Amino acid sequence: MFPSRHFIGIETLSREELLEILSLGAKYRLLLDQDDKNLTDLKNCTVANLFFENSTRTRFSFELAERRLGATVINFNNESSSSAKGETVLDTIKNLEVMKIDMVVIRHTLSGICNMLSRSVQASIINAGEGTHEHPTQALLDVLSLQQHFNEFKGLSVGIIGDILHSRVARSLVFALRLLGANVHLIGPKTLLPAHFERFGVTLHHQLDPILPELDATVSLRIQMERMESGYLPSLIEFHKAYGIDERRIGKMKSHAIIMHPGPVNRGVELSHYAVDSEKSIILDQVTNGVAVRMAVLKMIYEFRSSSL
Amino acid sequence: MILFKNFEIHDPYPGGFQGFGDVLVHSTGLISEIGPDILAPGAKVIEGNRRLLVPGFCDTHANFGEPGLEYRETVKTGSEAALAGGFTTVFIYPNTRPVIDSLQVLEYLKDKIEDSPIRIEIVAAISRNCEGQLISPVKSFTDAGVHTFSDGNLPVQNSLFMKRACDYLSMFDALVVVNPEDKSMSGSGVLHDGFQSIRLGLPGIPAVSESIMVHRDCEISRETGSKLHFNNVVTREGIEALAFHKARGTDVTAGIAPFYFILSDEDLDWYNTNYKLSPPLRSPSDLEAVLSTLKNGGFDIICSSHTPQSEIEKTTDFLSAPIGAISLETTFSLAFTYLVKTKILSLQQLLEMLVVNPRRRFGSEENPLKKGFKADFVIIDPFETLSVMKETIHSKSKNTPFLNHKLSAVIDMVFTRNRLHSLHEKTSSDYTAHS
Repeated sequence: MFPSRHFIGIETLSREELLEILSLGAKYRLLLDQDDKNLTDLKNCTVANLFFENSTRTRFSFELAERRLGATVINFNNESSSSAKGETVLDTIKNLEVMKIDMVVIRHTLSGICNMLSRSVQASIINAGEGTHEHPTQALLDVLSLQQHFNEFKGLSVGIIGDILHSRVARSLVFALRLLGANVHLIGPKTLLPAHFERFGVTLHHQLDPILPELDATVSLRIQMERMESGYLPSLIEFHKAYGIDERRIGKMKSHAIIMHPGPVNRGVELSHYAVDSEKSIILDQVTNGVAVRMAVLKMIYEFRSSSL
Repeated sequence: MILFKNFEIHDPYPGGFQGFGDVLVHSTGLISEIGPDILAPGAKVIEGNRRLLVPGFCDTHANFGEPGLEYRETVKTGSEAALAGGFTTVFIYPNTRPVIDSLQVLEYLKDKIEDSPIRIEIVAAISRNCEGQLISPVKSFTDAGVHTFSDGNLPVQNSLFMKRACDYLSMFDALVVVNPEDKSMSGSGVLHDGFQSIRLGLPGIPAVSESIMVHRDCEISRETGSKLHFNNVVTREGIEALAFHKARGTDVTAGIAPFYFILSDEDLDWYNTNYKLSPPLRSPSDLEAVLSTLKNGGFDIICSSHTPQSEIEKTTDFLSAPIGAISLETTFSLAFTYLVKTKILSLQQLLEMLVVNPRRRFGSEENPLKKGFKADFVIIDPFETLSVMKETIHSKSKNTPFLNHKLSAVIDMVFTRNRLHSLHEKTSSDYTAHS
């Protein structure tokens, strides 16, 4: 059993725990393809979704996962309070707790806020993406997608491309892929890929073309517009020329290689239209898997809570 | 009269008394005699019991909260913390509300300071409101006895302003104290730009943000002839810059606070906000550079960099949390544990950095253990263990990365301003030499 009240990051998971979540996620994925996909496992559980940063996909994905498991769901979407500091969020959660909320799914712009909250509350904290730290359920759905495609992680070469420095997706995915034994290549400009990343046991590249033919999968990261203003990059066009996946580059990829993206895609930047819609792209499949792995996380935390009462 | 009998006396001043002996303190608060086997019939006797007796320490970098931030530290609680740490002189910095940039604030503080059991020296702001735009009234301050100037944790960013301010300050032979940080480079950073900042997804502060300012201010000091001191230089690059300018003959000195000779960014306990410091904890390689520089005498002063922050303010996420940690009460024990016991420094060298150099560089009254001088000393039990516990901290704030640590050496008593303070007895047993 996955041994924690909270789900904050991949970094602290063991390989066994990760595999256990993935295997439950795979079961739920099969269930989602059936007509009757609603369960009642979490009928005694109330989950609050607190999104302090805008999100459509992840929020719907969590809400669906919660409802599929039969939980009572309340939503709090407040982008206007995205600057809410740790102590304010803590107060909010303490108020929810006394209203008998069991779990809190939180997305916030501040790295470390989940860790801070988990030290002070009884409710389970589930990280739905915090700052530039981790986005663990995104990594789960990514590795589930890779597993469905390749079965095995040993010997698999995965390239993560783009703004690694500011990416919570990249961090979580690196931790997950390393746990599972895949070879990880981080690819991006020096300004967005500092040398310290090497300590995660990955290989760094500042050019995409030389390594591209060796990759089994590419994960392109969404680039934020403000990176141009802060001097990390000259322009989106230049980024696309150096790191964008387009028809020409697809031609250089392995025949079985797949294209992934956590979404939403800036078409023509990380991926060309052609790449998004190409048969190598499994972007939409990733989205379905998102619901399945989130169901797995919710269910496992629920069982942990029930067993530790 | 009080006779302190059979102590291991270490006076780090040149020619100071070293060895077992007695100190007789007269009712005026002056030392009447120092040496072996002093006879003083009728004097109250305090036995040494293997304890050390050394001159009181001087801290060149502490933040209190008066005026305006009394919830963090008052002159009273800060003084108690200083006493508990063996500091009998403390320089307090102007980052208060309002900033210490006018005689009015100075006068307000002087009243408070009179009542303190220790000697408190004020560091005035270089610029009005520490904004780096208008020079504060330097002549008025020096006329009022303040000779040290700093913008503290808001160091002057504009280089031309800094040059003009130093030109002006040099007319008064003032000491310019800088926390070297290029804020345009450290930006929104909250910890060392390195593996840990990458791992935790927190914006980093590049090491060169320090060395650039060490170079800049040394060049300005050389150009203007002003006296310069850095509170902390903690990166390898900054230390190299410091050594370069010292070798060139620039009138520059530097301090170092315990955090930076004990911890590195790798010691950060997840997002524990008590590790959020300025300057930030640097890499293990920087820590190595700090230790070897301590060993070869490249640092002049050990300071506390005491920065109280309330528990409420620190109970937040790492990015939003305020910067700093308290340190007055633990500086000696930390230095004794991590520098003297590890043989990086001798006790004599440590005392030079806590007693002699701070007072000489910052121009405060000296306190050698000599006949005729004011009795100003600390009694230390080097065999006792100091447990750093929230409950026993004297400071009003409890923010320290060393909570629950056990350290060697405990400050037992402090004699200063003609008053003996026993620090570990429950009942108040403070008395003067009159008793």
